[in-house]
Amino acid sequence: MDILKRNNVTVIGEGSTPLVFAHGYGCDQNMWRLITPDFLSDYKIVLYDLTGSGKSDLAAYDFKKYGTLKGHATDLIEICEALDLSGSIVVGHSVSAMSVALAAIRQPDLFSSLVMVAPSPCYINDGDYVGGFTPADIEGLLDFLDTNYLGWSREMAPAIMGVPDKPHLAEELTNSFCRTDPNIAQHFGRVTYMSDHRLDVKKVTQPTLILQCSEDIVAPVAVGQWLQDNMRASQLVVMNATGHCPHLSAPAETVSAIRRFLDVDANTERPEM
Amino acid sequence: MATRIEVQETAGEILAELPCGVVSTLEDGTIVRVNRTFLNWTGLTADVIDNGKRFQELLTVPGRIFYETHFAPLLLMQGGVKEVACQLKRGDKEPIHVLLNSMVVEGRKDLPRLIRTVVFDATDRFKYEQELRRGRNESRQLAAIVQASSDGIVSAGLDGVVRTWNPGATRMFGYTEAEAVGRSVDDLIVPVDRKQEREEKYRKIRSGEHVTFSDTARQHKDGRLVPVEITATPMVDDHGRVIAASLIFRDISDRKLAEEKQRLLMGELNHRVKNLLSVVQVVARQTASVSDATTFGTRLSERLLGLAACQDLLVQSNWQGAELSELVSAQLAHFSDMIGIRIFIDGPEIKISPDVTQGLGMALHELATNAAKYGALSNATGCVKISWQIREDPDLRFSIQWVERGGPPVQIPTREGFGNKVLRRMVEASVKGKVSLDYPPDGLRWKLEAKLSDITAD
Repeated sequence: MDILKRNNVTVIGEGSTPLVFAHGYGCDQNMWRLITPDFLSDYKIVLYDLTGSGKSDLAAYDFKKYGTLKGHATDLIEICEALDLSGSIVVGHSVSAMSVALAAIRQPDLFSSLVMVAPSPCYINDGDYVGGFTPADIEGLLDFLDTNYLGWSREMAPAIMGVPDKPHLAEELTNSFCRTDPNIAQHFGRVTYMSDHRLDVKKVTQPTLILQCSEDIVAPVAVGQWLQDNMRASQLVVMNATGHCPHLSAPAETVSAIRRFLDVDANTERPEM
Repeated sequence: MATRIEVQETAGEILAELPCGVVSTLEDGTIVRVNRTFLNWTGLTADVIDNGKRFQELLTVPGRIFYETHFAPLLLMQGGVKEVACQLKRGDKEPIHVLLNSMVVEGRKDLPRLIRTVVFDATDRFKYEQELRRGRNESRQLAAIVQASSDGIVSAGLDGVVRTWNPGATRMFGYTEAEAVGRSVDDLIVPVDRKQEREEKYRKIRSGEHVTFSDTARQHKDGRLVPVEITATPMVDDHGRVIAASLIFRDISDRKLAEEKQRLLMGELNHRVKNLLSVVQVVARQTASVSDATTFGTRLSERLLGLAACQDLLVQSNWQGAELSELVSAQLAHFSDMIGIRIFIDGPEIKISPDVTQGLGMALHELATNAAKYGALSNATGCVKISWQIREDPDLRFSIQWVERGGPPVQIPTREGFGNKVLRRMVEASVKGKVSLDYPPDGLRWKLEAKLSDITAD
């Protein structure tokens, strides 16, 4: 199987240090396009679509393999190996922050540091732990997803309104962004929101930046705080940005937070230079 | 000629009272304008635009997650989203089901970009869609049952053209779904001599009748006939008109086979019972001729018990014959404590036919009875060796020996009793073999030789 084709891998940029971006639930690699330009000159940027999302090979979506995030972690490792990358910095949004953590624990040499954008190790409240949701909320979400895929026809991407003065852009996006099979969307939604990786994140040894939005219903501030308290080499940055996708809503703030982390991290990594 | 109709309402009034909600927000969802319809639906007051409330906060939890993970990214990336179903909270009242269309509008001069959203009341549509979803889920479950069924389940138009064809039908008739759909069942599976039956079936289905053929046959792709039971049911449209037929084919090969087997067994049993009764008749007559009134009953019942033991073995094997070593053990059951000490049994595994089981069983019974009364088993030291072999000569030959040693000195019988008759003639007759019976002084020797093919079960 061609892994680079399976995950629609894109490699761009002038630099040599690999910077890998893993998008979150419901989207594809286009999510990163407002922040990647800032890293083009000094990094080797790797973008890909999670199996089952975007322009990945939907036929490769094995419901058993991707029944846990381990399947996505395996994909990430395979991509790094296929591109012969080591010591990558890897940026994971939302659910992919956890897949990235799983990959970093399994193959520590492949990943030098992690950036988690709006991460949550567990979405459901559990005793003192505040994930933000009750099991009923999550069941409601899965039902909700079903409702919103009712209008999905086999040949058509979800109905998306185009930008009037850029119809070519709209057409291109209609065919890629947010496009996936409703059964996969349901399954991935369940896997995402039912997951609990609180024990796993404690095993991450790489320096990790936690980018927390100030008002994010999907990953509340308490979750970012919990992660900082429970991950060894982590630092929490609470952004002014609201919502769950700061790389789209506040690209400049997101870029500068990642830059600050990478520069400090690079200095501490190489003190003898 | 059209005349312009004077109206009193302004654009603002139209907007305020549109039959849909209109909301204008900043990029982060902060509400800046709403129309009256929206306020009426949500029970909010006009000050909602002053207290920094975000539009997504008005959605129920699932909708809010969807907003953050799908809706907002889509808006930011491609400037618009349409037909997203979600629920708006309405204070204490049940949330209202709505459809949202949103688009991003560039701000004038230095003003920020805005998101314009129209909100459609979708209460009835939601209910209808819920029913559709329920129906869809049910039909998926039914489809899964059809897919998994071992019966061939096919639907065909009234013209006999196949519309659906499940994997069970593929296994039964050899045609794949792709090969079958679109072709007439006549061309596919109806044998020439069954066309009339099919015609009759379709006539009944057209008139709305349910038809069952419990014992018929259809043709496999490779030409062989598959015995089947067919249940045909008319399928009707929304108006009750018959539009197609559902056909369920059940492979009854196993049932036919079982019926045939049962018929054969009944015949076999009848034959055996008659045979057995003649044997009992002979046994009784012969036993009477050598017994007096006091010994007849005991002797006869012992012999019948020997016969019964053979019978048990045959029943256990479904009349397929018996394992020779089991037959020997059964006939020596009275002496089981001596086996391995004074009685030695040795020979390869060999399955003998029902006839031979009976003949050989009786012979073994008589030999054992004789040995216990007069021969090697009548004192405390004698022993018996029962052994059988198969050798090539040039056909496969079978032989079995009964050899006694260490008993009291052998007396050659003065007249031929029943046992003797059994040991020679009955065995020779039932086994088509050659028997030798000798009385050397150190112990009785009995031997049977036959063609292996004459004594084995098929």
